[in-house]
Amino acid sequence: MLKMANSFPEEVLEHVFSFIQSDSDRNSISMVCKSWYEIERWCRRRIFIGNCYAVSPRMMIRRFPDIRSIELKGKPHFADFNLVPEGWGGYVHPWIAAMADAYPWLEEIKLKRMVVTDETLELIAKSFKNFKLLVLSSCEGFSTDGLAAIAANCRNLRELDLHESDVEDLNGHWLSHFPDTYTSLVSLNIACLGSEFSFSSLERLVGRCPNLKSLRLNRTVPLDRLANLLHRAPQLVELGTGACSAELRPDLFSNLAGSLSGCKELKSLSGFWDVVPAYLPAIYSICPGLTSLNLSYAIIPSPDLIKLVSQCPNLQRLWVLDYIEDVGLDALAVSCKDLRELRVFPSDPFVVEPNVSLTEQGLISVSEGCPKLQSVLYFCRQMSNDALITIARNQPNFTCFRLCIIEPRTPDYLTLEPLDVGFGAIVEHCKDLRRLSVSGLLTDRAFEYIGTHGKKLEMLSLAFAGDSDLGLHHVLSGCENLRKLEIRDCPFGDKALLANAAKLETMRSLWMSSCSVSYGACKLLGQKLPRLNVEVIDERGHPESRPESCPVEKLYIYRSVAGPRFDMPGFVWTMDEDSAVRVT
Amino acid sequence: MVTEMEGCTRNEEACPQLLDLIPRGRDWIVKRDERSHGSSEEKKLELRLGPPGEDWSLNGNSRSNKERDESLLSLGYFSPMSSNNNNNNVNHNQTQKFISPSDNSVLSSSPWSYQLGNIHQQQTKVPSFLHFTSSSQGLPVTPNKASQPCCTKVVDLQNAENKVFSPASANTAVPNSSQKRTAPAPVVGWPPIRSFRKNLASNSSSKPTSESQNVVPNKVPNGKQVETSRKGLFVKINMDGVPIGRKVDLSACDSYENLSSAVDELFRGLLAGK
Repeated sequence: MLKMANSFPEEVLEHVFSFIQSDSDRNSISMVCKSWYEIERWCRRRIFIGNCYAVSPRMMIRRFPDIRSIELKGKPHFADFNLVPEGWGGYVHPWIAAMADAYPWLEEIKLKRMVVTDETLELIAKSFKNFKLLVLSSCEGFSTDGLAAIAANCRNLRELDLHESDVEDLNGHWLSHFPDTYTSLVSLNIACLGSEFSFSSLERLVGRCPNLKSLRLNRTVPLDRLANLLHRAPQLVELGTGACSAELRPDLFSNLAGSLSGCKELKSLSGFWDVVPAYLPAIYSICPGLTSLNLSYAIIPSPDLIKLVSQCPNLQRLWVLDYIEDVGLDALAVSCKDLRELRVFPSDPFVVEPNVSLTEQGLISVSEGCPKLQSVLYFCRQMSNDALITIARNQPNFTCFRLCIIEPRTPDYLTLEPLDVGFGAIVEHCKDLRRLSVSGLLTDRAFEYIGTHGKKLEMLSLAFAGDSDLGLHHVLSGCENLRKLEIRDCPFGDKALLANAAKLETMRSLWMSSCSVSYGACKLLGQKLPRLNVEVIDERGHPESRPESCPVEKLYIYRSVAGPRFDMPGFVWTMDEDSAVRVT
Repeated sequence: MVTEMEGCTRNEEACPQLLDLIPRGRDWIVKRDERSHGSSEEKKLELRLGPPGEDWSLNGNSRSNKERDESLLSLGYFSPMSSNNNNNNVNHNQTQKFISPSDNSVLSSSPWSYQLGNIHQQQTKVPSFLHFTSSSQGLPVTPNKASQPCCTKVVDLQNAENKVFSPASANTAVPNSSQKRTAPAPVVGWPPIRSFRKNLASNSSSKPTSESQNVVPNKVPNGKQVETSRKGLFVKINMDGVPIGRKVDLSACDSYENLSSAVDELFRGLLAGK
């Protein structure tokens, strides 16, 4: 086989390889032999880098000379919850600067949790001649001025997505920087922006882009403007509305209902900020076609949600606030047999007492009624082992199960036992589970179950759980495919970490905050495993000023072929072979 | 990315020396190259690199299930000794006891290794799993409350003293049903909700009204209120002399006391480090 393969001309192999899209398959190809490695690297067009500090731009460019699409991630996931101090890092500029020289034909940049400056956006705008796609997901550091540079210069831009980014919102004029000749927009997501912008600019933009499929507006777009926009873009597949808080007026209602019913292709709806429930019947006409509904910004009482979901037999994804309550989830289970993903967010997360009647029962109903359910994120205030066992048996297809019981260390509310057995059932029955977040009262036994059964787990989030090092040892020694592990406020320390040190090299990253890992252990790990970057984050000052046995505040460990990073702020220390020398 | 690059960059070096630490039924004693044997400081640390002993191995096929159950029992799942540990005073004594010189023979081989016979000997006191290399690194055992018969809580007292743990986590390390309903002090990053959702939640402090219940939807905040609440909830605070500013979520604090303690919490670590 190998001989035959070698007899092909390079061009033939290159053509064959071009049909292989999956990153892991491309990786496998490159490991077959030297010549395949060479051919593959020259024709690789897409690259995904899960940690921007795991490799340097220089190394990427050296190996892959002709990349057209890059996806790059920066900060740890816990940055979403303010656990990563400001100024930690994740700067994209060095990457863009290097690619500006090396990849003039770069077309797509997708960034997640990275710091992007206006300067960087300007560099993107002027460096890549055929730039088509910019996704800034949970990014920060830039303003609408940077967006104006993109709008003004990227004539072939198809997609601009600011998904949940923290944008300094100077003004809304940036949107009018799209030139009048610009018509290539396919997708625009500006839902995270706060300020108003020129609606007439937006209307003209929407009107002249015939391929626009996805438009997600921000809260400032009033209801009466929405109907106008929709008339100009009946081809829309995905719509994020603005605020829907206008007083109920029959003309407004009929106008909206009319323009929505003209959008025959609509499959996905989001937005609905401050929605007045009386407007919801305006979308009933398009509900049969909807596959995705994000109502997690919309305060809609249960009876209205029930009516709404009952109109959506083809719904595959629902994000909703807990106002849906158990009774609403019952209705969902009856109506939406195609549901794949459910997220239920808390409307009042900082109150211990329940403000709505949402319990484990709702999740049980959905697990019974929706046979295709694969992914769940569920915030609630009470849970029982029996409920988790039932859910696990009903739904062995879960690939993602994230349960947040809002008060830390809440036991089974019926028996006051830990929830070990319940989560044990989840990992035991759901053989394809890739992502798991646990909460509630858990002992090391829960982690024994996870280590024993969670063979496909790739990402695991732990908080306020476990008794001892043994818990972490079960996870690290048992979960063979674990790539990302994030832990906060668990009594896990040096022994489990050091005993499984080599495991860390097989993972993308490990985050531990408010755990029991000593500074001495961090130093040892950094010295003995040179391919790991062991970073101690401590805002109390240099860890060397405390005894080595003193636990570090936060620890972030990741594998890297680039060595220690150079952009660490004053509260981050990297433990490498000479750190012992350097810090003294 | 690493996955993509592995092919070329990761093959050139041999396996890391600590690969030996992975339990594969092999001898867990760490072997390392000569240069790593340096100062006594390092030797002390190497001790703690020691393997968790064969009883820890999850693949312990060589042992019978019974033995394994015994060892797990000794690790405190259904620990019979919990009823003996009635108060912290007792616990304190035990802590001192099990780091006493008589245990040094165990420690000097490996902090993890112990004889099964030892378990029975010590079962009425402390799980032998919890032997420690030195007093400063020890994790003292906090005994169970009678209401928590099924788990032994391990609390790092040193941590607690240093206030590394947030007060909430320290307080709730041994959960107690009487604490259940008290509003917890705000813990940074918990519940795990993105900040923009927290801000959203603040707009919905009262339960929504339903048109289907024939209630006039006048409680929906008008645009102006929304604007202020959405913009003003996260406030960055800088303390004189502290280089790092911290954000506090005003919506999480419903009284002066709450806010004060939240701010105190944010800066306590920084001040302690000065």
